[in-house]
Amino acid sequence: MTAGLPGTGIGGLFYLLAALCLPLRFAWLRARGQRDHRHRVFVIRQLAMSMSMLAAVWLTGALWGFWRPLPKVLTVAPIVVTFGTLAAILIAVEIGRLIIRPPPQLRARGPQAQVRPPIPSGDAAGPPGLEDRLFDVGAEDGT
Amino acid sequence: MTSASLVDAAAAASSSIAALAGELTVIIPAYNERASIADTIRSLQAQTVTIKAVIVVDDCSTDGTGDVARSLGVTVMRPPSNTGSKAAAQNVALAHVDTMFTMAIDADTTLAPDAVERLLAAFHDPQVAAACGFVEPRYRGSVWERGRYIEYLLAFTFYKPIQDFYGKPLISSGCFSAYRTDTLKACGGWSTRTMAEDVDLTWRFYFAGYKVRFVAEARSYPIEPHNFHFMRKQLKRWSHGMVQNVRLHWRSVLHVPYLRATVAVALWDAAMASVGYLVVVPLLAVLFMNPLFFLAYVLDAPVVLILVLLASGGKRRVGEVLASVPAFFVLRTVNSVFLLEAVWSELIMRRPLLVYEKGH
Repeated sequence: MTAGLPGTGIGGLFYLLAALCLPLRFAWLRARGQRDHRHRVFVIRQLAMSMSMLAAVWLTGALWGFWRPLPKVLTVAPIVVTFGTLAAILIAVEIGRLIIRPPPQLRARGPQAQVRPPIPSGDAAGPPGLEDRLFDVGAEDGT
Repeated sequence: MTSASLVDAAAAASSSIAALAGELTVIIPAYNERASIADTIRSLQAQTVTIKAVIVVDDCSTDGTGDVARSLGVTVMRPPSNTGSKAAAQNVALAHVDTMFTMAIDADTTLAPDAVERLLAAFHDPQVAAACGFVEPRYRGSVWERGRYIEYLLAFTFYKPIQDFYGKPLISSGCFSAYRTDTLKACGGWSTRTMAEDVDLTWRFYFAGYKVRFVAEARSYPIEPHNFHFMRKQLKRWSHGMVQNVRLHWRSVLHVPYLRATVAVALWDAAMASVGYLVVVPLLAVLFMNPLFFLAYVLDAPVVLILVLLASGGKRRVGEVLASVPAFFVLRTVNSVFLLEAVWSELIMRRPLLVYEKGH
């Protein structure tokens, strides 16, 4: 499955910026000893795609400006609003991380951590019917 | 490294993956999939590596799905009554899996001949609990299939590889993923508490400290909904499933680097971009009596176009991609209706979707 609306504003900008930051991630991976030549090819390819996207955005703006010139405020405002919104979302998430304590199973992280009880082997693990399924959304994280 | 040693290294890697495949059980949940399940099983039997076992969970089909599967020499399990969801059906078989790896594949999905071999290579890293592959609609005839084709091209050539490079693919797609069996069982198998068991499982792996990988070279070809009747069911299930998982796991997600950002951005777009598409744009067009506002629906068309053309990978497919791009904008607008409805029902009204409706 895919989630969200691919190509849409904030998400599109987020992945564009993430792609532009790939060289930094690449350098970090190399510094940790992960030297895979496929990483280099991948970073170059994704950067080329990102540059093409930026060129497409610029071309769209240029064509629009040629067709219907807009006041400067209308050309700058969407950029400021989009970047501002993305920054606000990311900052809000970081603040949330600092304020909200991780659930116990996350604090005991590691191969031993079991988020749900293991299912038994053999026929005992018969499937629950729809009528007696426990729909416990909200239970795990206490919402 | 000399060419001889490169060949030796490649041969060693290939034989070690063959050994991994010998420790692989494939689970195929199926409900009334008579028309497609034979292709799925044959594509597994035609893999470059030999799979130890294939288990079809015939979830009380009425069209003879189990008979078709049995005639192709695979194990067929039939629970006493319909399990009610794909996750529950898969758990029926998981209880009987004794191999090191488990793969789940939809009954309407075929694989490229080397897909399993390429996917299993990800498990050389002992911290990897799950790996998923590239998904591409098998048929691209209707507007819905074409829209999905472009959506997947965008997602699997741009978004998902980036997520993988940052170490956190958002979802290990349920239609084609492999898992380390002991980890899968330790995490409780596939949960039936949400409509998106693949999201739930992927995130639980992260919470337990494991890695999930996306392997772009491992190709799968599912049959996507070909009409609105089936697409509606799938979009509803996916939208509600995503929001249910956010509601269920949000505290834990906040403490997983990068995942928290991708989830927050996805949720924002699901809610706010949908409001923009469905409310703000039409309202502005009416208020200012200017139809140019409707261009907002396709404002990013050049970006989408350039991305999918780069992703199409060959002249042969350029025409098909160009012809499919308009369908993407139709699907995206329809998708925004379901996302907004899911956010409204699950988060505001607290009315969760409880019934799993098969999409196709």
